[in-house]
Amino acid sequence: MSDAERIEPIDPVTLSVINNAFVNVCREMGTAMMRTSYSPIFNEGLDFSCMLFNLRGDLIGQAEFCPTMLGSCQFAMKWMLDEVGLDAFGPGDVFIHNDPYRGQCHMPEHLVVKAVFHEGRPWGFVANIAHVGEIGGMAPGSFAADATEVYQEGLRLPPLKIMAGGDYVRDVWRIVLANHRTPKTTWGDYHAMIGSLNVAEERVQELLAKYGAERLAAASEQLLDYSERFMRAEIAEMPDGVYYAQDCMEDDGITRNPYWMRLRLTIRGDQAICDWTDSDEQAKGPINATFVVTAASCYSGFLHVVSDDIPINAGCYRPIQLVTRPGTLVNVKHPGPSVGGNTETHPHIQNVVLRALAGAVPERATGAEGASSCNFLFGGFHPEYGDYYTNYHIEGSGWGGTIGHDGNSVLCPNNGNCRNTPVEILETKYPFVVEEFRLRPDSAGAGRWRGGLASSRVFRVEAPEITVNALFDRTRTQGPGIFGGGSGASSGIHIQRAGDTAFRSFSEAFGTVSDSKFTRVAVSRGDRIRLDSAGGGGFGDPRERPRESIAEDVRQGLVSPDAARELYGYEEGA
Amino acid sequence: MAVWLENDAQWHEERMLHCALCGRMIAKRFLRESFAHGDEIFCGDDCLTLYHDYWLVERGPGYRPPEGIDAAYAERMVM
Repeated sequence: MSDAERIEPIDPVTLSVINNAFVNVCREMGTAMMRTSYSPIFNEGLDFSCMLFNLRGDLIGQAEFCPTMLGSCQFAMKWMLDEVGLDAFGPGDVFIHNDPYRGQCHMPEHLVVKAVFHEGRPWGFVANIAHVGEIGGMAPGSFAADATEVYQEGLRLPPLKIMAGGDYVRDVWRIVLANHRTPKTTWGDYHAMIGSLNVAEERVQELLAKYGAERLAAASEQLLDYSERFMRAEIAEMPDGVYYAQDCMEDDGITRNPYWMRLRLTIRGDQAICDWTDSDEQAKGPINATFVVTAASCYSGFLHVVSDDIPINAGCYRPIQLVTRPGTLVNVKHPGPSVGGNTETHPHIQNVVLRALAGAVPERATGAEGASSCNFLFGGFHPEYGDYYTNYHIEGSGWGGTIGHDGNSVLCPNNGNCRNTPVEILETKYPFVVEEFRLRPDSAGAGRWRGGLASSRVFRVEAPEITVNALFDRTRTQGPGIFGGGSGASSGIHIQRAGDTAFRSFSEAFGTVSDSKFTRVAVSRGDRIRLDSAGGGGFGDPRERPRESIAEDVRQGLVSPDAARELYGYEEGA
Repeated sequence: MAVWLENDAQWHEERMLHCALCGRMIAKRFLRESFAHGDEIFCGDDCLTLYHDYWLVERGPGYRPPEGIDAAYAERMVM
């Protein structure tokens, strides 16, 4: 029996206070990270997540960060413990790990971990996982849309000690910095990540001083069990049955073939079995999801339809079991590439989970969301500053309509929870001018509750040359509506070369295999690049939408009069 | 009767083992059980249990998706 198990049950009020304390430690880590990091994808985009783990590597604390990281990170944490062992962690040590073939999401996601010691013994771990914006590999920004193996996607780090007793492990730092295109940014961002661990370590020490190590460990065990019971009760409320759903990635950047993910969801008492066996074989290009990405998609999908009151930790994931076949789109096998699996395939997978759940809990169903982060990466030498730069830019998409609510407009897809980078930041740091950034009229799927709107942004190139990469999806498919709702608009990336009068696809302009996934295209001063995100699917019959809501959409320019007439049967003034 | 074993790859080797049920990669410890169709390995008790009471019952050893599976899904999916 462990020390934690010998402790008397802790009263619910204290448990709630401790749970909120864990959440707040993670939030404070996030604030430290946001304020001290160098790259916009961290300090503006917030593409990182801060967490607490127990000594088994179970997630015991988190906050409102990125679902794909929050759901998957304990796999990386457990792998790290299995591979290096608990004894490898000493006071002041920090480990780093980004290997998708050791339990990580994809290569850019770097997990840093520090053990918290109490009276000479480790108590638990503080951790930060973040999307490092440039990690080498075949494309600036390390998002190679035409990669065919993991080795082309950047520098792969198995669990490694980068700080030992508070000192730099210089050999590791030197290897990393020599392999990233923007080492100064990596230097700053790594320090922000490690700094956030130091903040969290102090806060956990305060909790240990207040509650004692045994009582705090016991509380975290009881919270895990409580979350499991809560999730089981929620699943038990759903009707037993088998529910099916599927969706596809439109291509993999190497060919123009679609790749399908298919879920056979079984609800059996208080257990959910997410069986992905019928999914397609893995793609040659980088749209494959690692197992942990698929797991995170399942967890996040369920969290969308159950009570908001469940403390989110490893306990609430226990009743959800996965079945996958290695070597498929949803569980890539070595050495397949996977950078897009975490950003593009994840939201598709989650949409599939939600669509299957619509059969079990239709009152909580949603139209599909845009499901593309519209990953746009670029790099080059800045004409004014002279430095080499890279940046990872993402766009929000429309979310699906739900009972009682239109979908949110221009929000990061469901895997990310990231923010939009302000135009002023983009224009200050990089040689682009943002000529236009707006909502796209008629991009929302029609419905009794319509989907959310997509955005359109036009960049004008203000440098002799910029190398651009893109990894989009939904340019030839659409996020479907549900229960009679219409589909959202497709996304797109187009270019108007300087002197041209119209936008064209990159396939037309540069001969790329895919319109939506390409790497290392050189664009020049005066070229314009338009990023269109995808719209959300509608919920229910559009003809049942209240007339005043349609009139308001038309008045605001969100729905055109023609679309109002055609899709909603609405005539202005009638 | 399942037995716990360890991935005995050396530190300089990469030996990628996958759970026969969930498909996740196994870092170190795994359960091995013998079946009529051969030995299988599992990442833990939950997967071993589900292999018996879900996979063998609903899918069967060696299951692969049949041709035309997309149409079967499209037919059963909530639209």
